[in-house]
Amino acid sequence: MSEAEIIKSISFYGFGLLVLIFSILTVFAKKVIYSIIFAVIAFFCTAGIFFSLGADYNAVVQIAVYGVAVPVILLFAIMFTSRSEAKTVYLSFTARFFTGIISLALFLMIIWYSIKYAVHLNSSVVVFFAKNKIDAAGLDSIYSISNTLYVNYRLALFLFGIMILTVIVGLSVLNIIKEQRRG
Amino acid sequence: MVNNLFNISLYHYLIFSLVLFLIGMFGAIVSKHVIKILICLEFMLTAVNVNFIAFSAYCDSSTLKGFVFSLFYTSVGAVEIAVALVIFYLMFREKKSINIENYTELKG
Repeated sequence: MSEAEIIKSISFYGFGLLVLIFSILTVFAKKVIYSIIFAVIAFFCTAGIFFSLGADYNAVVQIAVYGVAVPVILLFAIMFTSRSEAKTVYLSFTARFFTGIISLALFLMIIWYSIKYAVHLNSSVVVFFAKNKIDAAGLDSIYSISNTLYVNYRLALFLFGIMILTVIVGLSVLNIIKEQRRG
Repeated sequence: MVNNLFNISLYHYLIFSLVLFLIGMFGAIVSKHVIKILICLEFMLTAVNVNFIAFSAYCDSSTLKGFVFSLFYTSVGAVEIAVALVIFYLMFREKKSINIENYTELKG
């Protein structure tokens, strides 16, 4: 058995086990907020399985859509449907002071690094990227997906764009009609 | 036996996606909270995506059509959850309840 096969089997069993465990925890969690957190972990691990299959583009889309976008929509839904009035939490003066100091320090550090590396173009970062150029052979799956998506299935992609636009406009119109009926 | 266990084939992914699909289906049937049901539906969609990608990786490694269909399916899942949440929000404002058993007006 080659080293690549061992790595593939370990990643499959590791990520697969995590996905199954966290999906079961999602179903049996008592609070829905815990369900969402477990589901996010399960979706991230599914992205790992996609990556082990060579579908790195799909893994990124999985993380972007199911790992970030969908949980945000679900959290907004929970916020809008809370049964009790939302309580505003105010930080104490000391906490606000230290938070402000840390934020300011981080901001100044980023500005300092940006100026430093913008002025010295031959810095170590530039040299690192110049040494580690992206190999075209490593982009095979992305090239193949792009070719299939934008050449063979361009009409389907166009229709999907129209569908998503219709959904966005339709949902807005639905809300407006509902508000007008109430008013 | 051990060699078969660590030699990952298409069947391993199919069994994994079947188990994930069954967990999602079980959760969608058993849960009463609407948001939990939606998450379980997303698990079912993810299981189908795993199937698409596994078949594409093992049977069609030249054109990778399954990868592309998986992308379409992911976008359909995101749209579906947006529509479902708006319907849920409108129903919540009517019924003031998160229990799906109270949404009897949606029955045909």
